[in-house]
Amino acid sequence: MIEARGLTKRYGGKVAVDNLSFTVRPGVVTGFLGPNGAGKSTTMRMILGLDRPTRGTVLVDGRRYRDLASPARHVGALLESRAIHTGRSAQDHLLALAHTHGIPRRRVDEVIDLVGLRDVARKRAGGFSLGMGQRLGIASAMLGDPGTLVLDEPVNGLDPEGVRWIRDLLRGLAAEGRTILLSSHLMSEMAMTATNLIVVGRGRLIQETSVEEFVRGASGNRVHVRSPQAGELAELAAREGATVTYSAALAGASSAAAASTFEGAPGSEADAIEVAGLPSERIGELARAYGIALYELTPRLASLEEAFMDITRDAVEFNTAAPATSEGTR
Amino acid sequence: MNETHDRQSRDRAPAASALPTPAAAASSRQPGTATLERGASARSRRGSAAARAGDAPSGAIAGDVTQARVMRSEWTKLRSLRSTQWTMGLAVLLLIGLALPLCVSASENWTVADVQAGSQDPVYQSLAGLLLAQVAVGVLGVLTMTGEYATGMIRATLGLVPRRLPVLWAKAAVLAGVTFVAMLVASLVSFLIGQAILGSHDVGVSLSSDGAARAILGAAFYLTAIALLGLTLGALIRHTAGAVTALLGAVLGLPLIFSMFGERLESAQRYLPALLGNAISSTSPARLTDLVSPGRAFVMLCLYIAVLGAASAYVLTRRDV
Ligand SMILES: Nc1ncnc2c1ncn2[C@@H]1O[C@H](COP(=O)(O)OP(=O)(O)OP(=O)(O)O)[C@@H](O)[C@H]1O
Ligand SMILES: [Mg+2]
Repeated sequence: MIEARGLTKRYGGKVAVDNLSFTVRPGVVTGFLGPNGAGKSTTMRMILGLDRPTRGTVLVDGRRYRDLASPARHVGALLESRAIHTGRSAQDHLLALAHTHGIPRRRVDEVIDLVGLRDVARKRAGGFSLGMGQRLGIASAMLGDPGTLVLDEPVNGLDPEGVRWIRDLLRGLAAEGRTILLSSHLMSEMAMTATNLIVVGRGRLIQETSVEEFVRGASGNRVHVRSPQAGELAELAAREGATVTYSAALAGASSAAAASTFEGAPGSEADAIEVAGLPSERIGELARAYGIALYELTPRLASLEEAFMDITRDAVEFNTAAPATSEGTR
Repeated sequence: MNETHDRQSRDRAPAASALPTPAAAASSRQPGTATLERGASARSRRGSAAARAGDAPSGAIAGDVTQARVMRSEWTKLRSLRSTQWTMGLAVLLLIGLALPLCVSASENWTVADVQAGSQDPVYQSLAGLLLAQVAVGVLGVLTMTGEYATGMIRATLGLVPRRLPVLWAKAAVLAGVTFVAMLVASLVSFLIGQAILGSHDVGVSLSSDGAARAILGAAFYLTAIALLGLTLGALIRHTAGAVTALLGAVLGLPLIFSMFGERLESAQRYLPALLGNAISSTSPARLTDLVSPGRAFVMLCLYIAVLGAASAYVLTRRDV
């Protein structure tokens, strides 16, 4: 359990985290989302007592991290940047960390096996690949069998196998009743791993919600409709305030080529439309009322990525310039 | 689209079934297959722990952080780095290695009268290798701290010991212990070899002679003090190059600079670390006239360590990592 109340961090004149309050509950994976520079890593460092908050508090299991008698039992952490001495072997690294809490050597062996580093346990960590370093960091985090895990972009550098392994590991650990706070920029991964979300932008809280609700609240949700009278239905829907687009991406994969002929030809042979701003129930009722046959009526939720882009658009700190159009460059 | 479905179906499933069993995990994947034996199996049997929110599981495998445990951790860190072996080996080599030519040269030039009159100091002659050895142990001291900052290891260290000061004390204690023992042995060997060479020309002294044992202990103590000063400078400056520069500047540079100011700084010069080291590891009364007494040198070196130690303790607890 992590509780942040009014957490604020200022570096010189720069406010990295601004009056941030949230609660990370046990039993589920909580995703920590935000654009680059939003303050996620800074928040995580404050949770671990590495950075001192300018204002506010953050408690782990009801206590300040600094006041924990056995921090490793409560929190395991993987930070953004590596926290491993390059000159030491993986085994000695873990052993040194384990000693601080009187953790026995067999537990060191256990976590080495857990992350699959047995073969290189005696090699210098300086020679490790990005993914191996990440695995060693996860092993360190697991040493004390902690009730809470704080992971800053743990899948960074992991191969697909490793990504999947992390996903299963975290879900399993959450199911055991542990608290897991996870930051990642891989939205598809986050959608599969996290249940709850904390979304930040420019150091401020944007939303504290579940992944489901977050996606449902995004503006990208729409209904895919296929009907021989699509044009008619489109007009009806538009009259109810919906935004209708003629879909090029048809449900059938084979029609990809045909889709282009439909473009710009509303009302003719086009039979697929995307309706935004009207629930599927209402579209179905409209169709029945006007005697329109429906071949397909599929609600399409925005992906987490779309929802994220939609909701954090105003909070993006480092906006990339839009690519110049070909006309513009000439 | 898939993601959404996937997630929804998972949410509907009871927590226990979402948990990969150790057996299933072991058969389906290669790396990292051994699930937490204590964790997964034991806990899932306790039923849906998620239902008892707030009652987070916490492993009993980790005990409380104690000063003794942090010392053990720092000992493991120190012994497992090649840089420790290198710097320490070099220090021993330099200490003993320099005694040989120095004593060979002295044995050819000194007269018995010189030694009896106290105008030459055979004890210091055999220990003067510390002038070079101090660079090696000083660098080791600096690296003990800056090595962690350079690699990011410090975040792991202070993350596990959030009160932080136990880390500083443990590093100091382990470094001091290792340095003192190694340098004491090296000083003794250096003394014995040196006196054997000098003795062949009757200008050597024995271990039981006045102040000899104290000088050997003093040399080991001085080198330990330099290692500790390196440690504290490392904690204050956090960068290897900066801290090494500061240390060498203070130890090797300051005496030269002070002497260039002439008489004005002459009385202050004797309180510089290097001259305190000279005082505590020599015996000749003639030499001691411009130096403080060995006892006072000991106190002064302790004072330096205490002041810089307090400063680094203050900085370590205040600054962000
Ligand atoms: N030690 C520091 N000194 C000065 N500024 C800092 C420091 N650490 C972070 N910042 C600033 O605070 C802001 C938040 O940074 P932070 O690393 O927490 O963002 P983030 O959400 O983790 O971003 P990313 O997704 O890129 O990892 C950034 O503008 C960063 O420049
Ligand atoms: Mg970050």
